[in-house]
Amino acid sequence: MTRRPSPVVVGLAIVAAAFLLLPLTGLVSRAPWSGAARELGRPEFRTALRLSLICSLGATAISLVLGVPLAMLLARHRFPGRRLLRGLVLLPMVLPPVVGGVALLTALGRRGIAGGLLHRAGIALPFTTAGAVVAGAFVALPFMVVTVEAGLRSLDARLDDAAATLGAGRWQTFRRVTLPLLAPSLWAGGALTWARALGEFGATITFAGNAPGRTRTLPIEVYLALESRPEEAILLSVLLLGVSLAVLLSLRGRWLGLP
Amino acid sequence: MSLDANVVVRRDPFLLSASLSVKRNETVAVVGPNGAGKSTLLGAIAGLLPLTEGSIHLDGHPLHTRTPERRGIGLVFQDGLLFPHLSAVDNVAFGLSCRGVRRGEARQRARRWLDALGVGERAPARPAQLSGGEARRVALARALAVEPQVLLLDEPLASLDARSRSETRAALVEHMTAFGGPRLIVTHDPVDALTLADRMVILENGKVVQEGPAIEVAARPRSAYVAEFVGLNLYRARAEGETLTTDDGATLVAAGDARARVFAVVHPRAVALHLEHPEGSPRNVWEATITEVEVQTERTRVRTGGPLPIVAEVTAESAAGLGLRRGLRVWLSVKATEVQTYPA
Repeated sequence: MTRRPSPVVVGLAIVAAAFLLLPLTGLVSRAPWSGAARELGRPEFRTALRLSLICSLGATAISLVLGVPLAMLLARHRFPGRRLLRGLVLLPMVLPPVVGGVALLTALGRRGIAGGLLHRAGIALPFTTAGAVVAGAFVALPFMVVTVEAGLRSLDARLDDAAATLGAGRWQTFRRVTLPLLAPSLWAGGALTWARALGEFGATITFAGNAPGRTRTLPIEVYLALESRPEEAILLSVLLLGVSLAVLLSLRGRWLGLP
Repeated sequence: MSLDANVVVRRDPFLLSASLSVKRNETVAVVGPNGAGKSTLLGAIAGLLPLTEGSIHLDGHPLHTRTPERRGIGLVFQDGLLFPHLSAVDNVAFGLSCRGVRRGEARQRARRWLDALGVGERAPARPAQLSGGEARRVALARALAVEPQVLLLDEPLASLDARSRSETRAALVEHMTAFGGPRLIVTHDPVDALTLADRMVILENGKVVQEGPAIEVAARPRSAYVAEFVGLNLYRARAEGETLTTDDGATLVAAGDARARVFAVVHPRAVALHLEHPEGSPRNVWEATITEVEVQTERTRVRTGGPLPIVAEVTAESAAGLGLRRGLRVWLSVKATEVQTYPA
């Protein structure tokens, strides 16, 4: 039996809920719905949208390809420095994104520790679309690693052994046992990663800049539009809010606690 | 023609160092307490754990150099370990399609294996919908379907209820015999070991402490664990003619006349319990306190303490008639002819 909550707790909880929901209500109520079609038809918007999709999906793809193997190592194998590595992997989740951007510049910039090599190989990341993808992947990758690692931990690793004794090689085992059982975690990780990359602002503008058509993604467009065309900024914000809501709903039971 | 395994696996502080060989069409039971290294032994033979040292040969060909998927060793895991996302028939077809058998063909063959094991009608069921006994049979079908050279079974009957246990055991006997290759079975259960295995290997603390034909091991245990496992009272003693002096300093009279270190066993049913000093011929009579009374379906097992601790088994009626309970002082008697000795 749980006792009835104290009035103080209930009161503060209501304030908290209102605090979280009020700004969103404001956003939706102030949105210029009548001019929506015209605003969304503007070429600046279409360019930013296309760029945002490219950058966020690219970041998600990088996170899948790199994050799943990292999650597998962290979940299934013991090696020196594993705990430290797991902690560091989570760092971008709590790091101020602008710091992430500066860090990326010092690492991958033309005079950065690895950037020199890239530069000589003819690859330029700062202030390019590829750089915006990298910035998104940097901040979003931890979401993939954390989600997939948790999924792997809930799988019985001995299923891999069972597959091996039945003649399945490593790749067959991964494709036919691990991957299907991990699918819900991959979806969840993918959705979170994508949402995080789509909303990325600080690291992107620091590392990749805000060149229209190349690195000016939707969040940056929102920020810049707020000065001159507040209506557009609100509308784009509502759009991004809708995307976040959709991601949350797609994760249903996992994050909303629904059955 | 046999499986010859010489397995050394070091996982500090644990060390498994065991050699065993299993002939074609022979079943060997690996028996031992928890943590003795039984599952480690199976894992090492199957190639799931790397050998620290040693070798595994089948008919003289080295297996230990091959990856698990190329060893041709079937392993039935402790709780079946079916793939939860695949139906029963797809679980069985899994190994076949990994070997390049086409989907339809693999399913057909899988279905035949399920039929053979009496679970054909459960083909479309997911593992979560199968009963414990059904899951074990599907797991056995899955292991057999890829036609392995060697079959390893890790506690294939553990944690089943009595009825599905005996049904599954019957299916196991039938298909193990039909299988024809070397078979190695890990079990906790003396009945399983005696009914399924030709030979027993006793593993304790990572070492083989006894091995031999199952009946012989059951009759002549050489460690406290084995004695407990097969349900005998075991003493290490020094024999001087018919008098045995146990390592705890107690005396037993046996029928033999050896002068050597011996093991002595007494069957619990050969121990008689009395409330008064018994009259008549028994050569071994002593008084002791009951430390434990364990009531089973038809028999009651009574454990007594003192320098000659012993377990006696009496009928439920006589246990009730004597009013046996913990702490009661009783007289125990054993005929000299019931004390079996063999060289230590």
